Amino acid sequence: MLARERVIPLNDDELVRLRARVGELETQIGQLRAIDEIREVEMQSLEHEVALKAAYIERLERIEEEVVAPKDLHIRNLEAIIAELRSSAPQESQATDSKVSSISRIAGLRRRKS
Amino acid sequence: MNAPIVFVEHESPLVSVIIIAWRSAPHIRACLESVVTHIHGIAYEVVLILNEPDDQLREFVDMQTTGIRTITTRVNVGYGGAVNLGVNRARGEFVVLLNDDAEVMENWLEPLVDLARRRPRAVAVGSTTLFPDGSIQEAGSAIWADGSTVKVGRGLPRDSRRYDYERRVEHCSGTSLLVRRSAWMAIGGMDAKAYYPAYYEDTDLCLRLIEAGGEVWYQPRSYLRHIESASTNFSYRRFLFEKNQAVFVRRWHELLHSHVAFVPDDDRVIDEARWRAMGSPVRVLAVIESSKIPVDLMLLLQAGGRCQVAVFSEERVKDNGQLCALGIGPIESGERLCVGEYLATSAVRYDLVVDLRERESREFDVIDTDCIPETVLLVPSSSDGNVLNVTTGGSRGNVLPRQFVDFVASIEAGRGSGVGQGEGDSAER
Repeated sequence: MLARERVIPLNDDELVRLRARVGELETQIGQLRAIDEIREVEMQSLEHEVALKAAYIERLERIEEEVVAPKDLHIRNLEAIIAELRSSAPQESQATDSKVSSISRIAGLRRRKS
Repeated sequence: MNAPIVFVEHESPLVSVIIIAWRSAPHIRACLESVVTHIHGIAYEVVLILNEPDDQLREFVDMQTTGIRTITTRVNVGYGGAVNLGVNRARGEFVVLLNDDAEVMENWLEPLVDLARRRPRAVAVGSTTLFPDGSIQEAGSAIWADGSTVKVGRGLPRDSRRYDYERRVEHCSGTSLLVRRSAWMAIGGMDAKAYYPAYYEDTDLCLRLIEAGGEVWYQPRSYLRHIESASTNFSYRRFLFEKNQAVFVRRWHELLHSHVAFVPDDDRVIDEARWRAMGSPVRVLAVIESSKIPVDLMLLLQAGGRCQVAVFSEERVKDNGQLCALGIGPIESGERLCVGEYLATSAVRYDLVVDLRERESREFDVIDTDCIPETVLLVPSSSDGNVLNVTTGGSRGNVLPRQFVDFVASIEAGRGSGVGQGEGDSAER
């Protein structure tokens, strides 16, 4: 047998009170939803902030490397120049020798002419 | 002890002013005071987002303000994240983003709302932002091909008339930006994730609003003062700018291909960018003698919005706001009193010059068409001005006022193809 739905008549005061209560509960639900939304945004923001800070630190480290790098490069360049100078030193002297020899040859020719 | 700042609460506000206060927000009091002082006759609410606030800021809001809707976040949710939270709580038909280090001035909000109501396609409207010394900081912004942006009008005196007319732009900064809430919701608001924590989200927002079919406008008659970038230090700001510029370029690279490349201190390039943002209209210069502008004639020259009209007058043009609202800008002749000299040196390349001066004046100050070979010249050929004589590329012809729209169409069609230059005879139909 089906139970009959009981209808309890409400007077106006009770209706007003219940409606006000419903309004309060709706406001509370709205506030809770708002808090949930803010929490979600906060969580996402924290993740972003961590990633951002990591990128910033990486960037700072890279800048440090870039600042240091030219010094190394400079030293390496200097070393390479010294090595090149050293290796080319005999050639330089040969060149000088040949220059000297050509000068002495010209000088010898001049002496012979005179 | 300062007096509390009291806002009137409205059941159904037309406008929601969204202000983000980050950490200590040292300028927030002046900002709120300016809002409560200078908005009249518009039902509005203030939604204040306390983004990672310190105790001092919390105390200030709790103890010294009433009638504000506040949302507090414990961590920095970023500018875009905070704005989105604020707009989600807003009730107004329009939301207006306002920086916490800005102070609005008399006639700030009313012109923004007025423009949005007059122009139904306008979904976002920006203000004239001034530096604390009163010079112009921004009169609309332009975007370059590399994704960088420039604030148009920067450094000009406030009373400069150069950009004193309503016009379409690609973006206005979020320092003071009215957005239709329906349009905001339709595109899902700012992209807070991609541009976290700040910079470029307002530029991206404007382009997405345009992409969705809306228009972004600059309203020159809405004023505020702004302390630029008061909230972050230089090196971190630069880092964020570069990071977010790269994000912006990745997203909009196809659109940016059609943009002009940035050239420092080049007015021509800025004008080119400004003109493109307006939808590349036919550029018309109306040369007049009087300081009073014949409005009916200006409407004719606008050809239903297909032409961007500027007015050159030897006298300072008087404007009660009508010309500005029509989007018609006066040219400040300054030291150059001759229109011929102005045209020969102007950064703007006009498609059409309509010389409405008396014959004597025209003969005294001659417009040398050799200096502007790509410009069509129109002069009245009858005393009542009902027939306009066309001179272009050595050719001549006539055009009646009722034929003007078709004439403009012929100029549009001729752009870039050489047609329309030397087409004067064909204008006579």
